[in-house]
Order: sequence, then C-alpha cells, then structure tokens
Amino acid sequence: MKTRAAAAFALAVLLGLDASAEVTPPAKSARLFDGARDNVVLGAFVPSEDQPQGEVRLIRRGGAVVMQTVLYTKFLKRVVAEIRKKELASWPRDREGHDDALRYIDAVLESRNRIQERFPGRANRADRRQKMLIEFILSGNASLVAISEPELEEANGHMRVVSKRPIVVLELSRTYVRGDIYEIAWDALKLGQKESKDLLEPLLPPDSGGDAEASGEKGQEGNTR
Amino acid sequence: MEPGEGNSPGIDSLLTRLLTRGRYAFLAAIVLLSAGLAPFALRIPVERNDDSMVSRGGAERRADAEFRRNFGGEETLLTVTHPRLLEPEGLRLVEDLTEQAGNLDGVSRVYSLTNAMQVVSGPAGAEAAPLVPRPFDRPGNRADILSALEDNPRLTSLLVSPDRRTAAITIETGDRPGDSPYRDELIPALRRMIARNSGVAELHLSGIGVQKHDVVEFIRRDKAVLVPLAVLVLMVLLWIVFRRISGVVIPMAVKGTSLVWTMGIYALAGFPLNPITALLPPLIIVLSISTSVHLYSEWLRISGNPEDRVRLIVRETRTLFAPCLYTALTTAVGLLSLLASDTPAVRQFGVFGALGVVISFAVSITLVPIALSFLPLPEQAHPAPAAESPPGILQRAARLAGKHPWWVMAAALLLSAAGVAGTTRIRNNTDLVRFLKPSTPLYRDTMFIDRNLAGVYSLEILLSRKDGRPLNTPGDIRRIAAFQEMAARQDHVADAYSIADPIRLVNRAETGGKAKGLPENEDDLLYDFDLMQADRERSFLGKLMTKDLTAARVSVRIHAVGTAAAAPLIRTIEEEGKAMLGDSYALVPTGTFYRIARDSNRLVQRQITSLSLCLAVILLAVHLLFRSVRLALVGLISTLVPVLLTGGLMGLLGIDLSTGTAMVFPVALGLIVDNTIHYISRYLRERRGDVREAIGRTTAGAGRAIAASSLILAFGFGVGGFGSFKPTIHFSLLTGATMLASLACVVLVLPSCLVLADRAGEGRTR
Repeated sequence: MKTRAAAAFALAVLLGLDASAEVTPPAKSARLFDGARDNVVLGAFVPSEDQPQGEVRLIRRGGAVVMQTVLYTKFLKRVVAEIRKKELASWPRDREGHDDALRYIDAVLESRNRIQERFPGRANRADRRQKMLIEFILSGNASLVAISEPELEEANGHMRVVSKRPIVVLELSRTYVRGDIYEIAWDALKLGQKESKDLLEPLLPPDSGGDAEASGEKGQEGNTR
Repeated sequence: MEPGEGNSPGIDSLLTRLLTRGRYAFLAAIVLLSAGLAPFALRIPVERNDDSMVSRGGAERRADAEFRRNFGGEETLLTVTHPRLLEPEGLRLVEDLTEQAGNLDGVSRVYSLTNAMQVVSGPAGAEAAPLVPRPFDRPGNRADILSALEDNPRLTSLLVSPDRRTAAITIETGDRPGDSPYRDELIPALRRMIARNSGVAELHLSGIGVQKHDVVEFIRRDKAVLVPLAVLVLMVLLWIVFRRISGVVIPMAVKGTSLVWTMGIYALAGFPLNPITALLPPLIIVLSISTSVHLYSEWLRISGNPEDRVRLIVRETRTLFAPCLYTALTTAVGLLSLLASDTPAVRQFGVFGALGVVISFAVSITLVPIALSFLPLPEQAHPAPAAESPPGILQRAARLAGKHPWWVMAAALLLSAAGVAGTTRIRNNTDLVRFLKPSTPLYRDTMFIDRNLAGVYSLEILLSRKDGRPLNTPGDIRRIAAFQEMAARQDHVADAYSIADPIRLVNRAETGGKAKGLPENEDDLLYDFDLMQADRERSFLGKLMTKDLTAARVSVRIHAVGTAAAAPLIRTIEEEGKAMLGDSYALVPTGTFYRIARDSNRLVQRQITSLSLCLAVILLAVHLLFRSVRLALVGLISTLVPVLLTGGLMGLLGIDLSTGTAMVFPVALGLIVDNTIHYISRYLRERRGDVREAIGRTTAGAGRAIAASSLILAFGFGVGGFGSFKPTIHFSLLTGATMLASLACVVLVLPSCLVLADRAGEGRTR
C-alpha cells in the first residue's frame, strides 16, 4: 500500500512539474492524497442526477476523512461562482474560519483560471467538460484542501478519478475544514443535521473539534443549499 | 336524325314501365333512400383546421410535420393597447392577462412583456433576467424597461409596438391528439376575457387558432343562411317563371333529393365541410335546376290526347334525354376539371359537385316524368302565361341575330377583346386576411396587429447541413445570420428571427458587454450553445433549433400581404438564400403561409390545365352529340364569349384569382355549354326552310327554358353573395354574372353564328 501511495505521489509531483507553478502536496501528507485506498461512504450527483455537473463523495481514506467534489461541467465558471456564493454565505465575517474560506475561494478561482487556460489545448476536443477535483481532507494531524485537475473515467454511471494534476494544496484550520465537510454534507449530500452528525462524527478524527453547528439550522431544515 | 332519338326504344320502354306500373315503387325507393341518407347529410361536421385548404405534397407534408414536431403548435396573439403601458397600471394589466390566459385549458405557454426574460451580464457570465423588473412601481422602472427594450430590439419587436403603447401576449396552445373540443372553447374564453377588460384597455385577438375558429363559425353561419336562402330564391324564381305550384314543387323535390343524396354520400365518405365545400349545398340546389326546368318547360308545351299523357311525357322526356344527359355530363366535366387543383378542398368540391350534377340528372329524368304523370296535361289546366309565347325580348333577340348577324358578331368580338384586355389584369393573389369582410373582428384585429407589431404571417425556413452534422460552428452561425439579415431586408418583411439573435445576446452578456457580435471561436460558440441547452425550458434554443442542432429555424415575419406580393418575396429569399449558403446547406421553406403562397403560384398553371381539359372534353362531347365540327366550333364561340367577359369583369373590378375564384371558369364553362347544347339541339329539330325562321322557332321553343334556367342559376348563384368569405362571394356572383352573359350569348351570338354558318354552308354548296 505504501508503494502505491508513493507511486501516486510521485506521479502527482511529476504532473505538478509539468504544469508550471503548481503546488506540490507536502511530502509528509502524501498518503492523504492517494485515492487508491478510497472507501466511498456516501455519494451524490450535484446539483441533480438528471443534470449532473459533478459528484460529491464522502470518503474514508485510511485514517482520514475526505469530502471530495469531482466537477465535470461545461460551466465551471458558473459552478465556481456558485461555490463562492455559498462559501461567503456559510462563512460570514463573524464566524471562525472566515479567513480560511476566503483563501479557499481565491484558490478555487485561481484553479478555475488555470483549468480554463489549459482547456483549448485538451486532447479530446469532443469532450467540452472542464474538470476540477476539490478535496477537503481531515486526518488526525492534517486539515487540508487540495484542488487538482483530474483525469476521469466513467464507470457504472459515476466518474472515477484516474489521475489528478494538483494545482493548489491549502493547509487550513481544522475548524474550517471540519465545518465545510458538514456544510457540504448538508448541501450536496442532502443530509439533515442529525443524519450528518450520526454519519460524520464516528468517521471524523476524535481530536478534531470545531464548529459544526454554526450554520446548523440549514442542516436542520435539510437540503436548503 | 335528331340528337337523342337514336336510342329511344330502350328509354321509351323503360320510362313507360316507370310511369305506369313502377311509379309508386320508384317513389317509395327515392323516399327510403333519401330518409336513409338524410341523417348523414344533416350532420356533416365542420373542419376544424385548414388541412383541406392547402395542398399535401409528400415532401412538404413531411417538412411541415417535422417543423410542428420540433417547434411546437400554433400561436394566438392577444394585444393590449394602454396609454400608460409601461407604467405600473399598464404592466399589471399585461401581467394579469398573461396569467389569466395561462390558466385557460389547452394553453401550454404564454409569453408577454411581463414574463419575458432577457440575457444580462452577471458575476459568472450570461444570466437570464426578467425584461421588466419587479416591483412595477419601483423608482426608475420605466427607464430600466425602456433601456432593456432598446438592448433587445428583436425580442422587443415581438413584445411591444414601436410607440410602446401596445403589448403582445403570445398564447401557445399544445397539441392534444384526439381532443379537439378544448380548441372550440379556448377562443371564446379568450374573447370573454377581452370583453371583461375592454373598458380598461383596447384589446385585439388574432392568429391561426382564431382564424380556424372563426372560419368554422362562418361556415356554420353560411350553412344555416345560404341553403334556406337559396331554396327561397329558387322557389320564388320558379313561381315567377311557371306560375304553377307543380312548377315549384317538382323542381324543388328534385333539388331536395339531389342535395340529400350528394351530401349524404359526402358525409359517408368522411369529409367535413370546409370553406370551399360549404358552397356545395347551395351549388347542388342551383345546379340541379337545369334538367327539371327543361323537362317541365317542355311539358307545358305538350299537346295531345289527355288519355295518352304517359306516351306524350315519355316522348318529351326521350327528346330531351340526350341534350340533358350531355349538359349534365359537360357540367360534371367542368366540375371534375377542378381535380387538376392542388387544393384538397377544391378537388372535393369538384368531385362532389359533379356527383351532385349526375345525381340530379338521374333524379330529374325519372322523378319529373313520374311526377308529371300524376298531373293532367297543361291544356286542361290553367295555361302558364309565360308558356303562351316567347317574351318580346327573346323575339327581338332572335330577329336581331337573324337580320344582323355580323353586327352581333362584331359586338361580341369587341366585348371579347375588352374581356381579354381585362383578363390580363387579373392578379394571382390569395390573401387570407382580406378573404374576410373588413367588418369582421378577425379582419380588424389582424390588421391592427399588423400595423402595430411584427407582421402577422410567418414564413418558416429550416436550414440544415447536407452532411447531417449539427449547425454549431462559427461558420454555420455566420451563414444563418447573413441569411436572416438578407430576409429581413426584403420588402413586406417586418423582421426575421434566428438562433443568431440569442447567441449574440448570450455572447454579449458572457463577455460583460464587450462582444457585440457572434462568437469568433468554436469553443465560445459551443459554450453559448451549452448555456442555452442547460436552460430547462429551452426558451431560446427550443424555438429556434432542433434538439440535436441539425436544423435551424429562420422565422421571417411578413406583413398582411397576399400571395401576389409574397410569392416573389419567397422566391427571392429562396434564391438569394441558396446562393448565400452554398451547396453544403439545405434550405426548406415550410409553414402554412408558405404552402398557401406555393399553391397560389401553381394556380394559374392549374387553371390553364383545368380549362384546357374542360374545353377539350366539352368540345368532344358537343361534337359527339351533333356529329358536326362546324356546330362544335359554333358552340365553342358562344361558350367562350361569356367566359372572356367574366374574365374581363374580374380584371376590371380588381377581383383576384384565388382558390375560390379559380373555380369560376371550369364551373361556368360546364354550365354555359348546357345552354349551347339545348339551343343547338332545338335548332336541329327546327331547321327546315329559312334559317331565320328556324332561329325564331328555336328561340321561341328552347329560349324560354334556357332563359328560365339561366336566370334561376344566376340568381341562385347570387345567393352565395351573402356568404362570409370573399372568394366564395366572388365565385357566386361571377358565376351568376357568367350565366347572364351566357344567356345573352345564347340568344344573340349563337343564333348569329348559326345564321353565318348556314350562309357559309350555302355558299359552298353553290
């Protein structure tokens, strides 16, 4: 398993070298980015199954929990604008994690620009979907957000990540990462507050405190985002 | 040998048996058959669409069906004129009417100023936003609306008039196969809605749906008015001519029977009444007059032993059998020549009109002698005053033709030349709106809408690539846009719409207003397509392109003009379009307006075919009957003169050649030749000694029946003048006028021709 993780990381690094100015994931966290050992707990199409622009998956990756958003959309600009809108709404100025949200927004916007710049030179001209992979990773000692440009393959109606070219890796506060995992669970996985708590608490690392209730009324109402 | 006497023994014995032993059984059979067919004849439905009024070529029908499948059903237009349309009260009214219309059964979508969307620049690119912001009383709202209207000129031309006082509410009805009653209710419901709001604003309603609804109502109205009116007029005319109850009752019985049988068969054949075949009942009533009038008129002249009346009636019937048969056949041929038409309604009219003529002949030649066999011979009854001697006018006509045949011929020639000159002025023009009387609400509303908004007609053109690939490259869209602009520049075109319009708007909004034109690279264009396809309602794309993007619709809105103006316009658009698009693209015009224009284009060609066919068959029939080329030519002259006069009259009065008026000539020709056949038949019987005396005797003998039947036909057709549609009014009045001209020709020109032909014959003998 370690060998595969190392290989995956090496590949990510190589791809990262290929794309100028891309951020290399920290070596100490390499296995956190290795999706080979992913165990999908729950997944959903976003915004809907009949018009999917991507998928959101709650994943167990070793000891870490990953909230993965795979976007494959012709309207990445719009999707990113929507992410920005929701982030700003979920992380108001007075909520702890607001600054992390701003950093995350900037990273997403920058990543989108990078993906769009590379888009005209894509190999498969017929496929006009722009792809972006966003992972909120929370382990016992890491709280990261990684944004990559993935290679995807369709399998059983879902998009499988074949490889990914890292664009940005952010180390953000555990409060923010944990909080956004909850936000995404409510919004994209359509979970209510109790459901999400019942599902996430056993999975999330025990030392990860934070504020999951800050915008909890959304979860109580269920699926309002 | 006289015509009709060669095969008399068979007819004699048949008629004798019919008039003696078989008459009760025959009458019972007629009554039973009539009773059986009457329920069908009385319950003929009215066509609810215009299917029978346009031709149905295979390719055109497929294109039309494909167009409807891809771009939806028909649209009805409601306009609201309000002095403060863009103020809160005006906008609230439009919104209220939009909502009310949307709630009506059968309405699938309603578009108006208050629910229209525009494409604006948002943080993430192009966004759909209401054209009219809410709330309506928001400060600066009017200025924002005016600005939005300026930014979207093409959308605006569909929604609001240039003076910004009239708004259009487009009501789209869905197709509900097998369910038509909702259509009957929709237009009255919209009209009730208009009536409820009439004090608040000026409201108008138009569109294909309204037209179809009103046409059905007009047909019902015409059916209810024209048939009783025709019956009444003919009864009065028969009384004036014969002054005998039997002279009214017997021909009316023939008419009733012929009408019930023909329309019963029409109903059994599964045809509904359409604007053209709505004329069949009065036509059959009128056409079935000829044989019965000739038989009755001749019966009034019978003299002999009253005990021998059956033999006398049989002899009289036998004498008239061949001329009556030939006149019926020539009339039927005239009507059957309408089969050359592309329009199903005209063909149905021709076939069932001919059937009606044949039925009326069969009924007349049997029912009239049987009915007469119950009556005493006329000498025993009160002699009809009109039967005593020919009226002075007929005598004078006979004398004039006998003494001055060259003068008569010169006058006929002059009038014919004038007729030819007038005929050249006839315009080939089908104008759906102006088919209606200017006083009708539909006419007024349609013309109002035409003046204030984009045109009322729509020429639909489907563009596609011949290689079947989607039309989604910048080159494709540039060509479509160029084609659209070319079409929009033409005369009579209000505007043209295509996919290039929303693409421009999306591109402008997507680039934050920087780009004004079409996307220059393929990715940007495909992105715009993706955006429009992502719209679940496909409000922009769905109305202008097929789902697979392989066909694009260019909708050319045309003002309320007839096909005389539209046909060359369509030709120009097609020709310039093909040259502009090149060989890689296919251009298919479609839609109801195109089909009407194309049918109208073919009208003259079909008319020539129809008339030539009709003339040839009639000439052959006359030649076969009289076995004389000279008489056939004489008959041709007296037949053609009234036709030319009618053509001249049409040209001078500015009556257009249209689906309705194109029927005048074949029908009239078939009827005119009846008079010629009856006259020549009689002339051949009277021809002994001096030709002038023979002419006098012929006019005295046959002239009365000819005059009676011609006048009855003329006034009978005149009843159609009270119809609802101008083409049918023109058809009726022109055919009636032709019958009067035919009467004049048959008592003046035909005898003059016969005198001259006789002199020529004598000259050759000497």
